Amino acid sequence: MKLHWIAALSLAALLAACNASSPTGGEAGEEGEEGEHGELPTSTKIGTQAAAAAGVRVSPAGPGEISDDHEVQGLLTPVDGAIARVMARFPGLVRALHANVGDQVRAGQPLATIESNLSLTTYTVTAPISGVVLSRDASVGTVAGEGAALYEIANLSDLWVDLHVFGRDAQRLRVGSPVIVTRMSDGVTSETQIERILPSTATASQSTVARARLRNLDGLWRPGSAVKARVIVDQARANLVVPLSALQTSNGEEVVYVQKGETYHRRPVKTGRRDADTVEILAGLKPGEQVVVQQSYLIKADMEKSTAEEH
Amino acid sequence: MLEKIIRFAITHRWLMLLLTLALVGLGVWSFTKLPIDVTPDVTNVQVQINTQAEGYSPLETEQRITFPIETALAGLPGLDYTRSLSRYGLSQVTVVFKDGTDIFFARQQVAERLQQVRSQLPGGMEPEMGPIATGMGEIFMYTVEADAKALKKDGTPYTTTDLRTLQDWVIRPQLRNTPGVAEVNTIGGYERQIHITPDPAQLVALNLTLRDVVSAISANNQNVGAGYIERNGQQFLVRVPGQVGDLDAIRSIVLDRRGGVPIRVGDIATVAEGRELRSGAATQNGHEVVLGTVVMLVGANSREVSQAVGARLEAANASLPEGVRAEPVYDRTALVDRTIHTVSKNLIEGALLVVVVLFLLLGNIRAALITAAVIPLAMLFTIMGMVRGGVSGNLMSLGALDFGLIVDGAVIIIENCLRRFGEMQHSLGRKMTDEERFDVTASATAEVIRPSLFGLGIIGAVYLPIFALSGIEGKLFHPMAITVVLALTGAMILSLTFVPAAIAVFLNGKVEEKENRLVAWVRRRYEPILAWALRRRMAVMAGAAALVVLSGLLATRLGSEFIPNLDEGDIVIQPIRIPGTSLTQAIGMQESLERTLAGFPEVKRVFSKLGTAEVASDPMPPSIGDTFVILKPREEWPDPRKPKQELIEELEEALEAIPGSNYEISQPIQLRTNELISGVRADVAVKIYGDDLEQLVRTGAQIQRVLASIDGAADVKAEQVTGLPLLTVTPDRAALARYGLNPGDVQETVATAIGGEVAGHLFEGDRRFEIVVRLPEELRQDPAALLDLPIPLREAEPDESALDARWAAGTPKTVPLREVAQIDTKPGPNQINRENGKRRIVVTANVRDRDLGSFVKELQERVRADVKLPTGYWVDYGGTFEQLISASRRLAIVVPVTLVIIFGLLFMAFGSAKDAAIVFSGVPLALTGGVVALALRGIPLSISAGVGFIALSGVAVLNGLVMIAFIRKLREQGDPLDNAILNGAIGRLRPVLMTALVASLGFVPMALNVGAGSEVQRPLATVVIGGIVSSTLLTLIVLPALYRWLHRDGDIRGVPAS
Repeated sequence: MKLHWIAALSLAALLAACNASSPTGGEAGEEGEEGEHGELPTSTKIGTQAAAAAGVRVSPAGPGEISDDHEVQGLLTPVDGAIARVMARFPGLVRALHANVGDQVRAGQPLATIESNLSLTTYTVTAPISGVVLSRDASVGTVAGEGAALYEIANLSDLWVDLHVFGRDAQRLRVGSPVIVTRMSDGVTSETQIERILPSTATASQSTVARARLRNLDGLWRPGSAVKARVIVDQARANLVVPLSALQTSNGEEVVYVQKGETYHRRPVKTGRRDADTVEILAGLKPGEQVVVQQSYLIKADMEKSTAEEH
Repeated sequence: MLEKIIRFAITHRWLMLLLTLALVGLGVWSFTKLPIDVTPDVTNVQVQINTQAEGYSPLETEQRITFPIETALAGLPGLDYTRSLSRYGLSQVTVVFKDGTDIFFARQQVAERLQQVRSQLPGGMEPEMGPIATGMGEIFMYTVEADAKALKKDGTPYTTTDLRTLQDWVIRPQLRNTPGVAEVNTIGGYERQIHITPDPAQLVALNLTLRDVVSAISANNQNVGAGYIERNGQQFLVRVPGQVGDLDAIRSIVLDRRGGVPIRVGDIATVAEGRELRSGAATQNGHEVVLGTVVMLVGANSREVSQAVGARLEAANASLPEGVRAEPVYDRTALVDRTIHTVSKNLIEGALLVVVVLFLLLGNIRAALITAAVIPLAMLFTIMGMVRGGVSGNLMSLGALDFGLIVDGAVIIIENCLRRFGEMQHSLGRKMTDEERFDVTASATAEVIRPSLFGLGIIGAVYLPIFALSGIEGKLFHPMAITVVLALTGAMILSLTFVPAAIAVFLNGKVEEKENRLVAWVRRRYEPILAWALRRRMAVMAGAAALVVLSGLLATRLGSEFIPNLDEGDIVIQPIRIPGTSLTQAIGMQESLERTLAGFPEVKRVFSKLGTAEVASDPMPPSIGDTFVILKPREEWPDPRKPKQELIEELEEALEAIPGSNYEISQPIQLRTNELISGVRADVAVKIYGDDLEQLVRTGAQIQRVLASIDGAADVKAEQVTGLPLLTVTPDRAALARYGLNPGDVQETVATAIGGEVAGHLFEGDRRFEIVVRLPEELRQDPAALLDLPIPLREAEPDESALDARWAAGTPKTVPLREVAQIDTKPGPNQINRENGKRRIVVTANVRDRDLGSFVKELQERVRADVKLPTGYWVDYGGTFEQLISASRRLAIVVPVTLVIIFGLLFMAFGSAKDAAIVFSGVPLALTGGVVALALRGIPLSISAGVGFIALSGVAVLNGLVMIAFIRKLREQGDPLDNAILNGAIGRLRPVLMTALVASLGFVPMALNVGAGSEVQRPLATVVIGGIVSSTLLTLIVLPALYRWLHRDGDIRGVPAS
């Protein structure tokens, strides 16, 4: 009778307390967040002020240039034909030397006086080209032999840059492609074009030499030194481009976010060529649409936040 | 027997008082030993094994580290289960032991196994056990910050790297040895590193590789000891120092000699202080800081430890450079002090109210003081027991103690003694002699001691079901039950000893036994009502029964909450962002979040941890953070009575406007405990085990659909395990073969270039900093530059097709990465979870408006029918439903058994089933008032309300017991039934009113409380106040009517109670 009542009531109270329990702690923030995994929302609304505070910037999509450039290694070499090796025509004693390494010489300027072994008379050796003395391989009093070089003179007003290009780049590079050459020592750059691409490929490195000519205006480009160069391997205009910072990957597809008022829409796009900072859009976006170009990740984060959850 | 004890106590009254004094001393001493914290510790026995796997992606971490560790741990004694997660750069295996396993034993076991597995791990991987701490461990946090104007010696402002260095080498060593500290964990800033960043073009030009740089550094940074020599009786140690001392020394390390020219590190690389690749950051009020967290050892006293840490931190501040300060931002002391404040407030207010009520109703200040003294004494007794039993003082164990109920026994005794003293004086017509007084005291006490002891015993018995709870609920509520039982035992012992002794000593002289006006007035009103009730007893009983039924119906309509949310005073907001969010992006997003929060007038400070700290005890990815919102004391709020829930709602609303994050709101201890337990917190969880991650995700999605289609399912979620963007550099084996390279060459170069390689250490006194070789930052961040990364070629035969022998040296010795590898980005696994040695994902749901059991049954059938599991895959069902069902089952046995025990106790007291049943009937009627009060205040049913009901049943039984015993006594003396009932009821009016008033008034402050502990106290106090009203009415009106009805044949059966 009464006993059953009590038992029933206490049990009911305790069990009710157990069964319908929903842990209240820790999950308070999850209310109203029913986002099903795999079905992402396609738009989100962010107040103008909040967006500005977060650094969101938009700009209209439009035509642009895609230029794919690669960094390659190169070496400076004197131009073939601008280097001369000065020799004594008749073997004989070197009586005097008139130029030192580093001296600028003009064509015809006397460089050495040799006493010929044959005639025992002295004769003068002159510079065949104008240029700078690269090396002096003789000294006064020695016998200059036949075929032994006394001086090496090079005209360094122009230099060749031999660039090592690899694989596909060798096929895509064309004569006339622009090159920006950087001196490693001080970072000075110089612009030029590819003059020719050499016919053979080095076996070990599978690289081909693309050669450009460089004006040595300040005289600090030295043959033998290594340089960095950026070659533009591919350059084309595209009808519709966006900065790479606008492009996000979401749910396995590439998307950009388009602003309309305070609403941001997710736009899956088909991308074409791209370079280091621009990407061509082939489909999914119309010219002139306001694309989020800064903090696009924030838009993505806001749109997909329903899928984010505790570890 | 009882009377003997009482007489002994009276005879040796001074001894009793001396013993009481000793109890006070012991109690106070124990109090200093009592570990005090805010909430009970519900963490299970677990050991965390963290392995930092620098640069490893989740897949590699799982394959190379997690799997061998897990395998090695299988079959440990006392093992409950293992779970693991593999993330970028971190493997964490959590080994959970069965409750009650000694943590040090467990760690010993794990350490042995780790020793064995070490050799199977990749080189340099060091599995480490987490700190010996629980969810309560993070007791103190501080930030290290520099003034905006403060400058270093060289005139530059402090960077976060400098602050981190100060934290690591000045502050932390001073705090780490504080007794009770297990660990000081750092997050934020950058660990100072020396970065050697070679320009790849220079490397190519000089035909050097990153490896050459790394080996040159390690060969130039050794100190060597060379034994000793003896000379002239002296001993000289021989030492060959070769360590680099500063950055210039590193710059001048020679890499190679070419044509007589040494090539130094400084020629090809920049050597400078750099930033580590960090996995976590800390921010405060929108800017980056360095944050230290002090973790307390298991079982230490959080108040003492945090105070000691605070003092050490203050001392450490003196050793910091001018303008740099370490500031405490979270200090458990404050919370603990609030807990103590709440408890002491209850104690003092309770005592005051008891004194006032007793004085008003008894008109005797001494008697009132004796009764009130029982409160602190019982309290001290409880504390002694808690210290012995290892129960910590907290809002659960102390916050819900109700001293009004505890002194009920003493109140009844004192009241009876006073009444008898008065009668005695009246009949003697003079003051009593000491002997007479002692005798009356003894007999008066003995008269009521039995019912009141039975009453206390019954209240104790009612707590039995709480001991039957297991798991988290058990850990949460056992301390509460233990303290209540302890306090009751204390009160019981005191009623037997101290109370009679004190009465004998202090209540001498003329005892005022005049009914005061209040009681007399109530009595005059009561008499006609009682007479009416006895006449119309059927109607009264029918009314009571109807009331019980109605309140039973009402109870089912109250909401319910199983585990109360203990208010810690502070708030933690976890911003949750999509996986793959970078740390820098997260810090940027954190700024607007923190600024918004700091704008609230109630908020004192806001600081956050993002990602994982140095010791990965809480492995969060950078996309998740813990934002601590420290609130000002309530007095400083614009509206000091604003409920916290309202504030949280306002915060949430403000946060909604900030784009890009989801938020979960919690509290510091609660959050940490949940992270450690990390069990599935949803009602139902389907765990899918298998090998292939993608298959698991697919099956998970199927099960998610099935689950969502079942009636009653809510919040259906599949665990998110994918979505981390991976930049994969896949070596092209065919291309590599052409160059005569191995994939290893590519891997090594990419790893050094992007991730960096530690080439040695730079020592500055005691401080040591890593020397790291990696690419310059601007190249590391640029995927286009990555494609140009030069991969060194092997030495080849002289090239026959070389252009010119002279330039043969100029043919490239390297090949760009683009030629030998494909680089693409695609989402990969975010983290890999494993349980008991198998990959698993979890689909969870809560159940609304439906019985859990049938839901799970339907779910299992539907999954079996609709989901085709590939071979080698299996599902398992878990979630809190298991616990709820097992708890319900256990309670279904324990509750009836308890009721039988109570009935048995009552039967023992009366020797009559009929009388026992009459007293027992008090329980449901007492409950009606509680239910109504809850409904009126809109408070849901909870365990703490349940405790209120339990206490209430105790009061009802106690009063009923005393009254029925009194009536029986009168009848034994020969009074006719009706007279006995009438006189008995009227005679017991005063003690019934007194106990009711004492108990209910004592609860009024608790019922109105909004501060610390209110969530436990408010339901309890509400139930008791409401219940006391109905219970008093019951005892005074329904009980006599029921007695009259059941004893209508007019004679007593069974043996008299005394």
